[in-house]
Amino acid sequence: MPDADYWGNISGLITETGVKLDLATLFRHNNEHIVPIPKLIYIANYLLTSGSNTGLIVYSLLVGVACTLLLLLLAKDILAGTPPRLLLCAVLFRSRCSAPS
Amino acid sequence: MSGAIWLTADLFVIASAACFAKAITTGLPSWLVAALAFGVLGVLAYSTAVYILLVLLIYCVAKLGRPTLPGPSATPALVGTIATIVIVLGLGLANRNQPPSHPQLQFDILGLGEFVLIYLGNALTTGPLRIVVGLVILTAGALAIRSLAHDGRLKETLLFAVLFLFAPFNALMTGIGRLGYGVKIAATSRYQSVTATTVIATITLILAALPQDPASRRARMLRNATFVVLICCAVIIAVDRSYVQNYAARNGRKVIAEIALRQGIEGDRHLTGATPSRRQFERVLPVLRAVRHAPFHWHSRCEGLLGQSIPEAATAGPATGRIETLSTYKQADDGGRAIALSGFAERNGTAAECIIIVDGSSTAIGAGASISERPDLERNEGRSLGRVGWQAVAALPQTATVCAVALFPGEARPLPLADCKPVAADAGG
Repeated sequence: MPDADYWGNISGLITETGVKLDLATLFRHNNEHIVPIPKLIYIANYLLTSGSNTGLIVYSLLVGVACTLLLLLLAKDILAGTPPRLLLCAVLFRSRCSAPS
Repeated sequence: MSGAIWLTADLFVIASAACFAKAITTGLPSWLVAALAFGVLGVLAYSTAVYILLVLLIYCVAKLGRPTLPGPSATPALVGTIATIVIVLGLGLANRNQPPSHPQLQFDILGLGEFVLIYLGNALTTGPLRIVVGLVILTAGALAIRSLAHDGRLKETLLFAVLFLFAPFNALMTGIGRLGYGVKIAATSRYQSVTATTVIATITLILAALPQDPASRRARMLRNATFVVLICCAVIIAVDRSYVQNYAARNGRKVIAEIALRQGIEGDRHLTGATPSRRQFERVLPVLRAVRHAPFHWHSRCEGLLGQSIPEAATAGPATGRIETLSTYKQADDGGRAIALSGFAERNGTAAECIIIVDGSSTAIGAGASISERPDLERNEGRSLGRVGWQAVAALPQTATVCAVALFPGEARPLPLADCKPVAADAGG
């Protein structure tokens, strides 16, 4: 099941006749926000997994890992001269990113 | 869904900030254009990314006014970046949407301060301590930036200084928009992805700011104390599993809500347990059912037996668990009654795959799932049992009693559970 107030995202995109993709619906507000990219992700998840949260969880995990690795790579430029600090950074980044969002 | 939205925006913000930092250090305008592109993609993922566009806008305006600032000097790139950001933000403002159900914007300074600190502190702790932790994160990051600026290393660490301000900015914006809901809304779990970026940036800034070869004893002590504190933080975060328990409890409620929805006997408790946005959910429910969207694309083996006779329910044999509670509830759609049951089921250390509720004539009328751990049983057994606590829902039976059977993984036939329960004669009213 989709979570919280994100139900509104699928209205108009997933219809009783299947997926209906148009720009107006993609750019329609979800509360205050315009979120066309997540809507595309949601449609892809619907087509691949019938909209199961498992697909979104896998996607979120992959993006979370990508964020962490990118930050660690960027921190390496600053902390390369102090390997223990970089190691501590890696441990803390991993710990911090293990929490679900 | 929230993870997909927020983390996608975070990724674009981090990529944009990285390109921006590269533009500053190399002076190449192409990095600025890349930063702008990632920033715009971020805004199309979620509004949190507006922050990075504002950072780029402020920089470009400042650079035009003061050309000696580091970074690309090409006027077309700077003006083009400014124009693009003004257009994107202008379009956003022109088409802004304030849902009527949302509170009015608030500028209560004290309330906003508390909101920001809770937003930040919630990354590492719960309760009143969040305010203190939020203050520590803000202070530590600010001191680290001050120290790096003093040492002339701000250019090299600009990326993390930019990312450090990501959560405070968004906390402030969210606070202005959502303070009407109360300060506690700052602890919403989905804000954690933004806060995590700031916490990571703070850690990096602190480690970068610490002296490498401190000359004085005091500086050495400060460095070692900071290391100890950060290691302690890593241990605390690693062993704190409270968020896992909260997450598992929420998912458990969802499983039972899904079973109730598939049977068409959901009650208020199931809907509010699964989503705080009941009205949105009810609007899309017919579509979800029609297109067999989750959770209507699947059912358990037990649900597949609904309406069938389950002779095992009347069979005497060693019970593999029991029914502990039975209550009735009002269905959300027509106000009719249904029943909710709970108990435990375990066989040879394995939790039941699913539960079947049967009426007095051994007909399957409901289903359930194993969703929770049972520390009370584990204490008696002296070993871990896994998720052996189950919950189930069923249509109101026409018979005086209901029983339950459990299907275990790899087993073809269900096994009976003890303690069939009577259904009150007036339960249907």
